[in-house]
Amino acid sequence: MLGTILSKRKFLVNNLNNEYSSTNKYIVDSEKKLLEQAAKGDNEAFSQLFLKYKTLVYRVVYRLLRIQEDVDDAVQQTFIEVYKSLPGYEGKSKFTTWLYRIAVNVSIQHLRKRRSDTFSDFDPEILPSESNKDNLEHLELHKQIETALDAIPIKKRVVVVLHDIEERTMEEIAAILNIPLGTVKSRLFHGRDEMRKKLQKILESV
Amino acid sequence: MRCSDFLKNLHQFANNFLSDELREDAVVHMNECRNCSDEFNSLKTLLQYLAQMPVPEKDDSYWQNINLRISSEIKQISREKDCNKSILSFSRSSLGKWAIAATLLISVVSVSNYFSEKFFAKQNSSSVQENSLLKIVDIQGQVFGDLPSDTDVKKPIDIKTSLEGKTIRTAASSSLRLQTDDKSFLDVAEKTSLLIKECNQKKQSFTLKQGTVTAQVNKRIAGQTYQITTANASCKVVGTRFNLSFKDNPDPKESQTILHVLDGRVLFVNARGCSVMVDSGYYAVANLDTIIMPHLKRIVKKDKKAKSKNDSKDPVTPITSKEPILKGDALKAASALMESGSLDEAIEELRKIHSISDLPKNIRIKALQKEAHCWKMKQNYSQAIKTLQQVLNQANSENQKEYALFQIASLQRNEIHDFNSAILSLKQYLSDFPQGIWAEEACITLAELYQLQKHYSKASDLYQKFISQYPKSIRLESVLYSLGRIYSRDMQDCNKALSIYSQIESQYPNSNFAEDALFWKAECLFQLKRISQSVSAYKQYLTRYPDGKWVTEAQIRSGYKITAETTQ
Repeated sequence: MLGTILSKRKFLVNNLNNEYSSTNKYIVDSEKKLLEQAAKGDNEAFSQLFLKYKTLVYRVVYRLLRIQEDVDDAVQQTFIEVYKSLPGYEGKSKFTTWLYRIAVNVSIQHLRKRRSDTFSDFDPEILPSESNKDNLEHLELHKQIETALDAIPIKKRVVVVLHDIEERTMEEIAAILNIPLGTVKSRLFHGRDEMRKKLQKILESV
Repeated sequence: MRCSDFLKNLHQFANNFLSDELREDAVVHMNECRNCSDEFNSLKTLLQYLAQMPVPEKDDSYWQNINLRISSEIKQISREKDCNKSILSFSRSSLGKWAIAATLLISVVSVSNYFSEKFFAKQNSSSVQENSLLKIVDIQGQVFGDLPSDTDVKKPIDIKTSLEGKTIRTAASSSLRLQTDDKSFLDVAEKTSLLIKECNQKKQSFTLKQGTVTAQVNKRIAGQTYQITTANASCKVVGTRFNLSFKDNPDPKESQTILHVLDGRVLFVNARGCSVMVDSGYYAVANLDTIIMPHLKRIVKKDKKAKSKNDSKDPVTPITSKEPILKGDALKAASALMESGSLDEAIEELRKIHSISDLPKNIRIKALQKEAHCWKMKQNYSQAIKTLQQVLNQANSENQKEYALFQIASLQRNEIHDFNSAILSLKQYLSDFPQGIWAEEACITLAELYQLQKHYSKASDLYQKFISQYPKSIRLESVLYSLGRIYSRDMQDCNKALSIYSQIESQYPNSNFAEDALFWKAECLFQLKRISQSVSAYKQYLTRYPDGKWVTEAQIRSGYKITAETTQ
């Protein structure tokens, strides 16, 4: 049964890859043109890039920062950095990888700058209950997971967010963060384990 | 497969990265071993929930706003690039001299010609700036605009012309609303005179000559400044709402600037360089020599019994106006450089001053304090701390030491986020100045830092010390709430937490913390198995806060929601 599911999944992935490669050239060419124009200071082209990638940037920044004011600033700052750095983008890595790198770096800067008094914003902890357990835990699990995610060190948090939430591959994360693949794995596994430890009782009861 | 091998491969297994052979072994092992099966299931659950973590969707207006902010920043970058290409290079020292000259000129004009200034409205429509960063969005009654160079008298302001460089005056029962391109507002009240000194992407600077303005400033991006100055003080903000009034008096020492912060924090600096950070809900009054913060008055009185009866207004900062005798001109020149934004030149001048070997100690300290202030303005906080440490080592009065030490702690905590060093500095402050001007602030900040570092016992001790030492503090309710959260969340001591939450409920029923305190009180009762009391507290919460943030949880806990669902 498991084997059948896996082979079906592989078939779908292969199909998707084939579909992608038939249109790949067109996508690459049109994006390359857009990037070149934006790098030359064409505001219209940059505007198109913004429209195309705003959600991607917003998603990753939001998942790392979660305080709306910081998120707004970081999204803006990411695109400003993109604008400033585009002339230096040589296309050695995928554009999204490069974009993720900037968004993650900007978010990390925000996390490091975040003042200690904002810790009260991460206050949604609820004491474990004895009755109505299922309902309450279901309602609160997301809050608890967010709290646990906030509690792990930034470097591990970034990898967990990129891999387990943003569904980036480990190779891509290594390229985004410019670190060895082994380091990605180690940060991911340790980060998850730290979260599991914090959420142990709740995860066991779900 | 053994347990150790299973756990070694757990993450790859959960991500379907294992080879078919290893995967089959893992499945077999999981069927045999309960512990490993639990480990796998908990990881799978975590991954499943992580993958579903929600991101709030944003509507078009949100993206339009972000797009506008980005476009405006990009325009500024382009303009700077163009300027760099075309501008001739001036030497820094010559710019510095011009800055001093300009500052002096402004002072002379503002003192001698202020009441004889002519009103005018620029008629040249060709100078309309469609991309102006500042525009008038509402006018009530009579408003005039003037430039010193113009000779027209009392003509209504022309809203189509650039406002930069003009002084706006409102007549009695008149008012005006200005809006910057980032949707920040400045409301000018009646009988007010306001000079719009500079209004560009990087700097928005106003001089309030007379009257009252209310500012609602959106958060500045890095490098942007927003400043309103009066004859004896200035307010610098990063994003906040505040109200500023200037009451002019023929005797400059009697002139007063009153700042009332409505939201956020404002850095309030007077002409002598005394600076305080004023928090939301507080007000401060600056005159030439001092800044008075009425809510701190009690503490200062307690600390300074020796003061004369006449001295009822306590300076918040220890810098006095009596010191500059020698090198006073050099210090003034450095101040003028600072005012004009030539910080590097100001630092150079100040370093020259305090390197003089036979300099009186007070002047040296003052120069060092100003230098630290320059580094702060340049956002080079490590250098600011180093300079303040020099002040600390060389200070010849307790006031100077106290000021330097607290400044160091604030920079370590707020700017460079070196919490361990901030803890040490605050501990030293509280030990050296237990009755100091900032002792209350230091105590609460240290407790927060301990809490942040997860030293909950130390944090709770300090909060308790604060409660007993400052029973009339207006921050008492927030301290009580923090203490309650430490007991219930971090130390799992529900009895103590319950007593704190009950205290908030009875003593501060209308405070911002009352809602949360009531909910957590109910939770504590629940934990202590006092179920009927707990249900009654949840019901009390639902009655008192029908739209509260814990309504869903309270409904479930009190059984209301389940009953309702079951009935349906």
